[in-house]
Amino acid sequence: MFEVVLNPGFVPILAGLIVLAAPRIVRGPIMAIAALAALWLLLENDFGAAATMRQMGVETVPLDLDALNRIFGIAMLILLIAMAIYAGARRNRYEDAAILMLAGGAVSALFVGDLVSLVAAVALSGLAAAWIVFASPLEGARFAGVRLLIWHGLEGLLFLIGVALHLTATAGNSKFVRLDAGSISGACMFAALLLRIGAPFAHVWLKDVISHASAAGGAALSAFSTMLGVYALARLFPAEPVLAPIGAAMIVVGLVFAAITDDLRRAGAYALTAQTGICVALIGEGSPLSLAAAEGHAFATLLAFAALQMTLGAMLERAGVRRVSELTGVARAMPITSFLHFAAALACAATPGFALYATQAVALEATAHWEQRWLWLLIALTSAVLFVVLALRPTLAAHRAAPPRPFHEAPFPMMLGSALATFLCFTIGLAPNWLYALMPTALAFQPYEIERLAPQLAMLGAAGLAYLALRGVGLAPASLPARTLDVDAFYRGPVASAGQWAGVLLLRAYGAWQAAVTRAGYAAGRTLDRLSRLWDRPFAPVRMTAATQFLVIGAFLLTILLFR
Amino acid sequence: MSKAAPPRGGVAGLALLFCFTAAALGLAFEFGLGAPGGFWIGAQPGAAAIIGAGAAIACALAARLAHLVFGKRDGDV
Repeated sequence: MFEVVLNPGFVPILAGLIVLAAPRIVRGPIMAIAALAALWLLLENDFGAAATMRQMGVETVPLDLDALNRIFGIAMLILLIAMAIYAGARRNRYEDAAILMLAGGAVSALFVGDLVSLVAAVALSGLAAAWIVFASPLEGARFAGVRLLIWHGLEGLLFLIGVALHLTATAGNSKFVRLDAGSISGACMFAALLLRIGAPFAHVWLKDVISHASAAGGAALSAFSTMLGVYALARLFPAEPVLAPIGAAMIVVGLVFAAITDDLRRAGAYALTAQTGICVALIGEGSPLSLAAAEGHAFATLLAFAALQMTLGAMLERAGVRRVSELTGVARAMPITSFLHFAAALACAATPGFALYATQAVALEATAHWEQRWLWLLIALTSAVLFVVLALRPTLAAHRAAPPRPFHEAPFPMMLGSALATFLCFTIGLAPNWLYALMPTALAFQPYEIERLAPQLAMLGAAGLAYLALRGVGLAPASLPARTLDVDAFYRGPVASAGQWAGVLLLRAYGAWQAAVTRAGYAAGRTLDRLSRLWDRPFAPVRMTAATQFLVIGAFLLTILLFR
Repeated sequence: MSKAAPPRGGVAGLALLFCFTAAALGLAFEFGLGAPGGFWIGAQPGAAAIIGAGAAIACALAARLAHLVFGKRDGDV
């Protein structure tokens, strides 16, 4: 019997093709309907592999639903509805199509049940992500898109090598199993996933593309890119010990750069790296509670940071501001958008009442052991740092006294989309049992018990008081007009410029050396030529030449006689 | 570093009130309930407030250090 197996992710991909030819007025509704249809497909199917088919001799599983991919899928598809509303304010059909392709590729990758299909879906989402950046009107977006293509190309290459080696080793069995990062195939796929999640030294691509994408593009990239890597790690490398230090390093790198970066969209991207690091470290810990915490934390992070990037994008779209130092007076011109930004920042900082608090409480519980105390401390620190960096600092800057600014509120669809995403964070945070019920591990957890709530309140309050006190005495800078350097300074920026200059100098020195060698060669050739011509004429009337010939031949014979 | 004008509309005061209330409530519950000690010193009553204050101080120092090292320039890399 013929059976159609429709992966929920295929619906946004098809919708992406349709919106390319659709008028502006129906593009938003098409995006929302595609998200709802995919959500319906996801919730309608039962757990388990729906069907398998053979592609080029390899068995593929286009749909394999379980509790792990369901929680990620619900988060992404709910967010796609908010994105559909948010994107209604723009006119770029290519970007709408790219956002749908990105979401579709990511959701498809969640629900496939084999490595070959996973690689294909991840590659599609990577291409769509680059398309989003190319469609951005911001300066430098084309180069950022090319850089993203290189990163994703490297990731895809590693993935392909890993899958090919895995297929060879397992006689063509590509179904998901727990992989060993110590084997060559596993190591290649592990490295590809580290690039995807933005592990240290590869974390730069995320802030690069988010800061160069448009308002909607930044939110979409924030939501649908790194969390796919978190899912794949949870699927393929659960309880891999090396993930714990990698996650911890991601937290540190993300927090440090978020604290010193002036560009708020970049700071948001760095903060996302820190929260992703928490998920990665929890996957590395590997206990059932840690894995449940990682999945819940990924769900909440996805919603909160998309809401944050939406509000920052709205400010960028209307007022053209992206830096803390440019925010002066924005709260007066855009009070609703500023409030939405503050609420989204509180959501990102795991403030009680928001979804991230509910999942961070589980993460703290999962790491509350002596051996994991440093991870526990980093998780606790994250919310305090993000409260200062994302909530307090921009809000104080936006309320600074300034003459009236020549702009007004963000477009209504943008505010509505941001508000919906923030509202979702709020409702899930107030009633987190719904989220706990979605987790693969059954969880009976009370995040609002006073023993858990009181330390979080004390920490955020003390962080705020300390920061305000430092601002009051002038020790904390009000703005950060400094040019921060990250790893990508080696391939762009001042270090890369210095490298280019050094390269130019070396090339010139090499050219001069080559020219000198060529000249010397020509001169030697000419001399030899003259000598040989003279030697060819032994009766030429030049005595010195005959004497030279005599001397050379004598020296030659003497050498042979002496050293024979 | 720019000499910024103070925040308008008492938002600094509002933030101060918000933070003070949160810190006071949290500390009061932590010490008042007499909860059992945590699994290490960082989980003892009052330690969360110290961690939060330390985080804020570290943020300010990092920002100050970044300004000193990288100076005033056009943009980020």
